[in-house]
Amino acid sequence: MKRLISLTIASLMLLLSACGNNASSGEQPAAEGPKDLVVALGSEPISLDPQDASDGISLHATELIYDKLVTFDKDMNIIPELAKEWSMSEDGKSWTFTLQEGAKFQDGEPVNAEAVKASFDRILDKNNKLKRRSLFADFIESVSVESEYKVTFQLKFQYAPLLATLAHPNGGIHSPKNTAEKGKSVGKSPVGSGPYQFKEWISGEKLVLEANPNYWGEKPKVKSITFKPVVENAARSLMLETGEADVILPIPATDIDRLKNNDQVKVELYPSNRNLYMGMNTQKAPFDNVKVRQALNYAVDKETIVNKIMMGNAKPAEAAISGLTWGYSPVGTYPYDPEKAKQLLAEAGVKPGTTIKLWTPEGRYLMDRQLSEFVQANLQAVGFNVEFRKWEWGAYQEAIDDPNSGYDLFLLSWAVPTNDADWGLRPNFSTEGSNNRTLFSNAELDALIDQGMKTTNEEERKQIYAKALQIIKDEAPWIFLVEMKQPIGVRKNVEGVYGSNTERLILRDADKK
Amino acid sequence: MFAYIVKRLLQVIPTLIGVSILTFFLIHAVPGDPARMIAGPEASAEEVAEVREHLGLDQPLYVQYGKYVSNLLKGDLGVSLRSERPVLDEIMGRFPSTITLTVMAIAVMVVIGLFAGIFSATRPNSLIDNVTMMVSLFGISLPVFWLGLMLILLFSYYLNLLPSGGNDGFSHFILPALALGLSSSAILARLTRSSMLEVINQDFVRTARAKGVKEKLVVYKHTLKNALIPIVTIIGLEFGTLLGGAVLTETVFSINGLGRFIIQSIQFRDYPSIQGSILFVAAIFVIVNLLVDLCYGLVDPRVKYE
Repeated sequence: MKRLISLTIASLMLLLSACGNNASSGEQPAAEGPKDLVVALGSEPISLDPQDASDGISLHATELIYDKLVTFDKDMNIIPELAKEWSMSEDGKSWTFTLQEGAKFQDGEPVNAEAVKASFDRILDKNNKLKRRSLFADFIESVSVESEYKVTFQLKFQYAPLLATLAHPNGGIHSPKNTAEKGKSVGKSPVGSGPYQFKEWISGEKLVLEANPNYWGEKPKVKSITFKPVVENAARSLMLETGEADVILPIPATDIDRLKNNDQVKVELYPSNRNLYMGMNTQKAPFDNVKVRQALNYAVDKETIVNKIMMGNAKPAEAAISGLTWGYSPVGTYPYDPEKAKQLLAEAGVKPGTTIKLWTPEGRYLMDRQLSEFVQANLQAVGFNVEFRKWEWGAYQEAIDDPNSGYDLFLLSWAVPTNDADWGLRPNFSTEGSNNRTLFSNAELDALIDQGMKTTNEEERKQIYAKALQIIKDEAPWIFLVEMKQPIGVRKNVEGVYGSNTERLILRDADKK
Repeated sequence: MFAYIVKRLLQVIPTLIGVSILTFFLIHAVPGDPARMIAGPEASAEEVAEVREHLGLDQPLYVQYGKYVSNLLKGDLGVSLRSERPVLDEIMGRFPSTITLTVMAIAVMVVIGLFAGIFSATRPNSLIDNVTMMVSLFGISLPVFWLGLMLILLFSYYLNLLPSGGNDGFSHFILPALALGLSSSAILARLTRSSMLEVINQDFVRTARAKGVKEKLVVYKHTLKNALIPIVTIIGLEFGTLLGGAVLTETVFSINGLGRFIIQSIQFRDYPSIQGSILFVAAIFVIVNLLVDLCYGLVDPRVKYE
């Protein structure tokens, strides 16, 4: 018996030490030359077809595989990518792009006007049922080839955010040969003209991209980039600390301070144009009264939310869109003033003890439930009786799709992937907006949003949005809460990784020493 | 015996039909719309409707079930709504990790649990017995995810001996198998002890000792063999549970296994994936149960199969 136990223990130890050697051999300095980069994310991509992907994680990867006509630089300016220059017709409805010569797709096909046309024809065709069709089909009439390297976009109407929309990851250009051969399954075997090309994807385990040796632009600096889905927050942090991952996103708020103290690791907080808000049904009493809506805004203490709940990973929202979104102007937050809130409620005839229902998701956004509980307490303090309900994300999305499902207030966020005010305002606040869950309707605002979409003069356009943002603030269909930040963790020997304002993890210039 | 096995295998069919009906209607009763999940919270109502139509989710439930069953009879589990890969491929891609983890965890559980139980039972109420039982009580009470995190902290973070997660090779399974196996070995140890104690005071054991049989033989041949039935049962049950239920462990250790796949599919309302993997796990569970029943015959010749 004793012999058996000691034998077991001895063999276990042997096993451990044998594996230990394997595990630590990865830590030793590897040979010179480009290295492999490992990125741990909260989930895995869904599709690598940029025209058919709406989740952020898929787009982190498609940004490496595909080039677009234009792109954003680090400061969110629009810069050339496959298009080296462009011009607009007098009426603003026709845009011509001149392409880089010599760029090739990863399958060797040339990037020319035909390829750009084929790629956009694909997403504009309704029969292809691609998820991001409406992003382009709403305003593009047709795409035509002028010459080998000149392509023209004919628009349905003047559309000022055209370049910003083309810079969106969903504007990635496909190799026409690949889409013709694979059809819808290009999401599993993508071919673009970007600096990294698809190598393998084991579902649920890893996606591996390798450097494209023939990239037309600046050569990629690492040998391969591997994306791993690591659901557990603590496990992701640990992987960064042990060096099993070079980049992690997101970092749980509770680990940020600890990781900052680790000298092997860098923690950066990047601003995001995602605004967290609490929407209300503006057609329903008492929220059809603007005084009540303003009162709710005065009742909520944004500073405490930022400092105590989000632990500094956010800042109070100063408008309906975030500070780095094009067209932003600060119209200011409602100060925390419960007395003023009570006064406004009294003027509106809302009796103390009125019951309202507040719904929130749990686990979707950083500290979402905690934040909603705090708002609940704030609203109780000015006299409401707040019924609180937390939801699992899947059921929540369905519930808040229907304004009659019973909520008065719901927590949600909005990000602007084009980084342009148009996409920040039109879906949410115009009467016909595709995401107008508050049922808000204001003729003056509708006219301004429409004007903003069609005005190409930047100064004029900014003024239009300044007015629009002021109206939205005064009318207050949301309780404006906070602008989010994205915490990204990177090993000290990794450079060139950052988070864009549109919540993309930018790895194109990543380098590992 | 052969007739028994055939009969038992035939019984699998109604069980699986029952499971398929139950899972199909239960998951459709759960609130949440896969079309909205796929299109994302920022999609418009029209886009969501388009996705719904594309997936065939706009059809009446009985039509959807009919389609599902007719495909099932052809051996087709459908295509995942989330990844658009065949569900069978998704399951088979994860099954090797799950089965490796399960077998290793069972091995840890049997080695530690069985011997700790025997060790205690042969020294009832001694200090060692009490300590072993105390430790096993801790083992039962510790949440497996916490134990997993502690193992990671010790072996990956401080000692840097083993990887903290993933399933790239054998070494990646040691910590999760330890976490799972240690928790379940606690149960097994207590069960083995009580089962052995029931047998060890019986007349035939005393007779064996009286006629001078060596103590080792008394313990392992006479006592343990007669105490094995509940032990085999619990091992079989544990095996079935671990196949689809090691979610926490798989999550903590980032193992791409079936349990995590089921949870992820539920969160995404990926109906075909949920149905397919539950059916798959149910089928395996039934087979494991059959094997356990057959083991009874090996352990105890009095068990007859009819």
